[in-house]
Amino acid sequence: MNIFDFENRLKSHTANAKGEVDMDRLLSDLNLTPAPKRSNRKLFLLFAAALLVSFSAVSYYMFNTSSSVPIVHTIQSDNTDATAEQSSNIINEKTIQEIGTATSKTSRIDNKVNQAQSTKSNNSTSKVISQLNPEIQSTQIEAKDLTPETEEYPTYNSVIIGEDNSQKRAPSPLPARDISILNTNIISAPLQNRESLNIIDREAQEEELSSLKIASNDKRSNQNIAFLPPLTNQLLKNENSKFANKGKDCPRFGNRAWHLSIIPEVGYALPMKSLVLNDSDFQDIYDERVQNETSIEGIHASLAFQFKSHVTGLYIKPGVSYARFTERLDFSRTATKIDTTIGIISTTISQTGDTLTEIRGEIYEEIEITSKERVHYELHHFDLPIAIGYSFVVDKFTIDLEGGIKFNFLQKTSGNILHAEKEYLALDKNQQQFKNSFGLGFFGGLLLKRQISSHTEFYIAPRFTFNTLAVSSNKNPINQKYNVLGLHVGCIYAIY
Amino acid sequence: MRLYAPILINICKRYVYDPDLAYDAMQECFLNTFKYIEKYSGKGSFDGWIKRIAVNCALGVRKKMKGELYIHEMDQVLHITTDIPDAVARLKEEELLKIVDELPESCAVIFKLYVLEGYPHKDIAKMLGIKESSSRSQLARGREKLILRLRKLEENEYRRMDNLFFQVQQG
Repeated sequence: MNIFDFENRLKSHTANAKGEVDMDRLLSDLNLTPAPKRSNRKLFLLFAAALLVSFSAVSYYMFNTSSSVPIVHTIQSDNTDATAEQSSNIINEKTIQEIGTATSKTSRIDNKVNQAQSTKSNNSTSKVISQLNPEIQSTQIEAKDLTPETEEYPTYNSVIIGEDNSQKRAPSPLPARDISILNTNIISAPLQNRESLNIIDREAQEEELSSLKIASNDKRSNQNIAFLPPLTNQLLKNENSKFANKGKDCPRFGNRAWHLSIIPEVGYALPMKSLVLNDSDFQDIYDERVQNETSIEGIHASLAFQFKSHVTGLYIKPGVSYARFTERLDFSRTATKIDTTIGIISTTISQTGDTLTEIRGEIYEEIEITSKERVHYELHHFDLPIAIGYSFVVDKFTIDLEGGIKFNFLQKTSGNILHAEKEYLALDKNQQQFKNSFGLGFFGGLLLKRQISSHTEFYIAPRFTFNTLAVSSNKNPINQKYNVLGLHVGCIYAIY
Repeated sequence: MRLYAPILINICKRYVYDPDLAYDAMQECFLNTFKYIEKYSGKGSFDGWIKRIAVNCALGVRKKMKGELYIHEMDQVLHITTDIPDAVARLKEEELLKIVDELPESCAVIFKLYVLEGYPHKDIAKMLGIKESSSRSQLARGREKLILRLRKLEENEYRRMDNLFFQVQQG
């Protein structure tokens, strides 16, 4: 036979070879509660911080503009302060005493536990060393069979192998995976001395070559336990802690069909404004605004919660959003200033030519003056959007198509708006020109998403918003309405 | 999972001899599969993809428990005949795999990766973080040692038969 035939024989045998797996155990182990991955937490925190700052700014603005409540300073007497201070000191002392007592109790308990553990571990370790060290107990090993009974090692039996020598585990407060790690650490140690094991194994094989029986894996494990080198508890502790600290990012495989995610989002909005004149008396103002008023950038921030079915790809996404739109009015006014100076307005020469007569008078001079004015006003919208969408995968990306309604529950204004010719109305103090809330709107868009971690997706989303109603009130002679085209970025962080 | 778990546990056991460690490797393989399922492009077979994950997980567990696999570059590879004794034909596959396990660790791992899993030397070198030439030389060395072991096995078999024959003759 050729070595290559031999290899092919091995390959064909192992290609379809199957081992036995306890599927119930595997499935239950995979249902372990995951240690949440924190590697991309920074990104999420950044978004959350940006959102928090924007909302804080908005709320600060609202508080400052809308509230006219005077600040009241309460002056307390010295006696009150002293009493309060004393009482706080008393509380603090009491708290410190309680904490101190608790700490001393805890330390005492810890000492006891440590003593107990060290005593226990020393006993078990010394027992293992005395029983398992091949050099000390060589005669004992020779006298025994090479596959000793596991009952001789009660310290390991309770953890490694069950009472019936099967894969059953003793009850333990640790999760199943940790127990398996404990087991594997203990069992794997002799594998490092495989060469020495092989020598002993080969001798045994030569003696019993007639049978040429190869021990099964379980049997080999028992043999390995017999030659287990002395392991200190410290070593075991280190190995365990190495594994225990290694946070596995375990996805959950429950039967839950819905998942909850939190979605902070920011965006740039391009408002498309439409003005309609209601009262013909204000035609000039209307013309001025149409010609000179420009919608500049709008910003948008929102926080939404997404309930998504991973089975169907459908989701519903309620939330709260804030948007700010700024209008800029640029005036370029020209005026003519008439100035008069005294100067020669006529010169006459006599017929003889010897007399020159000059007539002086007022000379009118027109000076053209050009002035530029720039005035801003802002509209702040607070909405409650709710979207329904469908998600599907395209190559490495996920695309969400979504649409929904949003309800504007609050509108605030600031800045100055052109009200009459050369007259501005301060919107900070007077918001009669605009509604306090303008109600229903519709929006639709798509999200291009990319998964950046097991819990987080980043997306960029163009979105169009159509508002059914005008933002201006009935007192405003010019009807003002917005439709918005926005480009948004955000992240979807799965929290449940 | 029910389809692949028996296959994957067998693969993991080839590289991690301890059953519990092999189970851990398989579990990690499933976790990685679920985690990176979107990265599966669909070009190759899914079997090959998941088996590759299993091999990598098993090697990773092995590395954690036993440290780095030390593979040294060999200057010279002995060229011996590729014929192996006929006694091999009488042995079962499990027994042959046991003999492969008895090879030096580096040879055994590379032999299994190359012969049993069918990975080219380039991939093996990438998996183990070694040179491609090291993978080749270790495979050659493993084959040599395997042939020598099989021959020794055959000699022992003949010796045992002679002893039995002698004992029968003695009465």
